[in-house]
Amino acid sequence: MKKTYHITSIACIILLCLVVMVQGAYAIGEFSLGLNAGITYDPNHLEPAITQWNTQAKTTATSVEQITIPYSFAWGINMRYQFNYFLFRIGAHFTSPYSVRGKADANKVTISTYQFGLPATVGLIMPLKQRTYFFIGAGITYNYAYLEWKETVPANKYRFADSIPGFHYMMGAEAPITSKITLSVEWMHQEGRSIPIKDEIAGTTKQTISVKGDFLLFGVNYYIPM
Amino acid sequence: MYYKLCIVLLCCAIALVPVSSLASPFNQAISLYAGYIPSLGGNLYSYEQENTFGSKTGIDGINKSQTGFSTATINRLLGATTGATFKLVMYDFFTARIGANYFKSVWGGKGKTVYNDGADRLLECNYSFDGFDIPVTVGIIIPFYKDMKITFSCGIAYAWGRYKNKFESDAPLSYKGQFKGSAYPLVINTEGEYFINDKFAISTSLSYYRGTTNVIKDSKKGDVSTDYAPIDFSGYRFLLGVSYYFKPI
Repeated sequence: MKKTYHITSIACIILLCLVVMVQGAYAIGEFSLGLNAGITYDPNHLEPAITQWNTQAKTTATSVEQITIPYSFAWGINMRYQFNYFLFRIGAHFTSPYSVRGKADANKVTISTYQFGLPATVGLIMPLKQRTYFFIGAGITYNYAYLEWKETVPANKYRFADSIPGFHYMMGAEAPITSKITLSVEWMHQEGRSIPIKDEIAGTTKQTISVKGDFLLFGVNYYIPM
Repeated sequence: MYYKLCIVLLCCAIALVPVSSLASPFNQAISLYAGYIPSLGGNLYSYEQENTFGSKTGIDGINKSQTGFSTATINRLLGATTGATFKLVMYDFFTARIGANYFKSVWGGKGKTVYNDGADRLLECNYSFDGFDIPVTVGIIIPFYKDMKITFSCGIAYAWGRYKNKFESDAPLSYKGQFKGSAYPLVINTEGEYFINDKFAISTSLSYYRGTTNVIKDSKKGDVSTDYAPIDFSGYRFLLGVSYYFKPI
């Protein structure tokens, strides 16, 4: 858990430094800062494990409450630099589903999971006029994923957490509200899989975590006057 | 039930927005389209395929061959889809949409493979998938010159699907499954429109859905097994259509 906070803190500090550096920059293009909020489906790609558990529960237990593959609220920030037809974007987002639970007879399952991502994107812009454009881009992602799986009968608890490098592609559009503020819609699909990670509690089992998934992000962006 | 009611109310709210005044910042349009869906239903996993036929990855893992058996490759399903979308355009740049789509598998999902239940046996497999969905999305429109628009929108759909499978061999047993269920997949849509006059446009679009139901119990009676499977709505959709705008653009 400590490691998680350290990594998240370092990533946020780096991002804040970049934002501060932008204040003093002199360039031909435009800088903007954005706040994002949206949703993602199945964070940390739990679907195969959940389907396996649900299937096993349905075929062996008499009373089953299936685990539902979760939707999760996602939020984050981003910083963008636009130069002619190019877009450079660095973002940070966090997501954690509220409650992921299931029950098979007396056995109760609770899954706790979260994901932190730092995507760096290079994209191509199709501009119509200033601050009105459609873009498509791709890049690399630093992810930190955490997964805890707890069962009551028999009592079991597994915890896996690690940094996961990956890549993503994204698509989006932006339109102005005022001369400095815009609204944006973005879709990011990301891929990435960890090496087998050792269970942090018992240390006996190993498991990979996949960060494959899709994020829908709606944003408000502020263009920094140069 | 609550979600269904919300969808219906949202639909009514969009339809009631007035567009009669030419000065109104709102416009409305209706699109009709058709297209295809590669890999409809995903890998079509079911418990019986894993338990009896040794395929943990559904249709992908079911294909096997053996000397002396005339097998035929079982391909993933290719689906056809058609539907209509009602679009609300706000202040030229913003849009909210609600649609209704029907989809059905039209190719693939049939063939012969081999499995072993103590002896090698030829197994005839048959998969099919159909359903409908109601996507609700919001997004941004980027107009290009006077006669083109690119729209990017995201949202959620209510999707209902029916997945059927059938496995028959020269053994006396046959396995038939039918699974019906609904989910709320994530939806992303990118659309390009070319206006042939000030009210009609030809459109192409790419949609991406991501969502799966819980595990559903087989509702088919009269065979030897009770199967379990999720219904997967994830995948891409490629569409071609026409749009009619109520007010000139």
